[in-house]
Amino acid sequence: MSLQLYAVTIAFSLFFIFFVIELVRRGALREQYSLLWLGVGLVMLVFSASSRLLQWVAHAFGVYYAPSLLFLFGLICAFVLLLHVTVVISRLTDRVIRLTQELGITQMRLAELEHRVHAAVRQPPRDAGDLVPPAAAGTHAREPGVCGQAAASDGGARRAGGDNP
Amino acid sequence: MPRILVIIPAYNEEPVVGNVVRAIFRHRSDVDVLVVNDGSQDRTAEVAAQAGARVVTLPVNLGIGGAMQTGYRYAAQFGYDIAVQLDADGQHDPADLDRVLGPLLAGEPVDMVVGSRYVERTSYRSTAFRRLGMVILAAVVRLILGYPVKDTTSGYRAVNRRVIELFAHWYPTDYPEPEAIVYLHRNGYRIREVAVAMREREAGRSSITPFRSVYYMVKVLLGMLMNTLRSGNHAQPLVHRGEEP
Repeated sequence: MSLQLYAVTIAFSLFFIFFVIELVRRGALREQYSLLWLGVGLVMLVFSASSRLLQWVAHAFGVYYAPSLLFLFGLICAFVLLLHVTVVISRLTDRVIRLTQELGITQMRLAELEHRVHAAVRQPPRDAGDLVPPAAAGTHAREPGVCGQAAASDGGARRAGGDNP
Repeated sequence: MPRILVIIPAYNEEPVVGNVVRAIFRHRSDVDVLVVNDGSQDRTAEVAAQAGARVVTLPVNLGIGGAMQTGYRYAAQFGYDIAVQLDADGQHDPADLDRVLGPLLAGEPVDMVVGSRYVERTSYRSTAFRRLGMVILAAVVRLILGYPVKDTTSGYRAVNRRVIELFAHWYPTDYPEPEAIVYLHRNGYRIREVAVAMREREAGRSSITPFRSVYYMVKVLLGMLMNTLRSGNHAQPLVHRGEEP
């Protein structure tokens, strides 16, 4: 193997490993998924550092043309990674479905609650109506009380007069 | 008096969903109706709400299984005793609600009642292609169950509290009806069929085109096979509280 090619393959392997590390550092790749890629990078580095190792392994497996072993490794790695990715996608799909369902139900409950709170706010108590100053600051301060009462008493009950004398 | 929830998954069913909801209330005033709006682009949610249904709108389209399970999760959260699922397109006649609910309300030893098109002679007709698919499904389901379920694809069903909790926990996707039957059977639940009338769709097309139905067929068969392979595993987390009516 020529020296230039030797240098290029090692440089590429190193670049690949540092690129994966950089992705993890920036938060673009999760640690758990980076392990597989770091493993691939290390294998690439080892084989590019020593062409004799590849020859030896090829000989041990009875492979006549050593580089074809690289293709085999590459293919196996690609398949394993793809399978891994589809497993991850399946898990994500389940979670997205579950979250979408909960979001839909929660949004409905929130809308109903808002509806009841608004209904309670729009109907000031008749007997205490002229006692309550219609100042904006006043309504702001009363909101939590209205909210709690609407939830507790189905929004129909009138507010207590002593709330804001 | 058991609390009953009618679950209607709806995707772009604006022209018909209102009529379906009103028809349900005409036949039974003692039920709550929940329309699960599965990311529709039309006014399905408004129309359903105007008709008096409660509406859960999913922010993205989940497909029939995900939408249906939303209804079961709702029923589980809000403590309903019985849930009925029914199609939004008007092919399930709300007049049959009593028949589908009957065995559960009477306290008979059954966990799910399937409103079937084929138990007795009804006026329902179907295309040859769909019939072939249904026949194959029915044969496989019979093989797994050991007894026949004539209409495995019927989406007109009523279930009790135990099944509500089970479905809230796990429900098949895409084309869930036959798989749900097998799943319930493998977990020891009892299934009953009653005859119902099926009408032509009021509007809209079936979501199942010939090409997709082949894909669904393979997928459903695979799903049922997987169900038999892992029988009982899913049943473990379920807490049997003895709440059966």
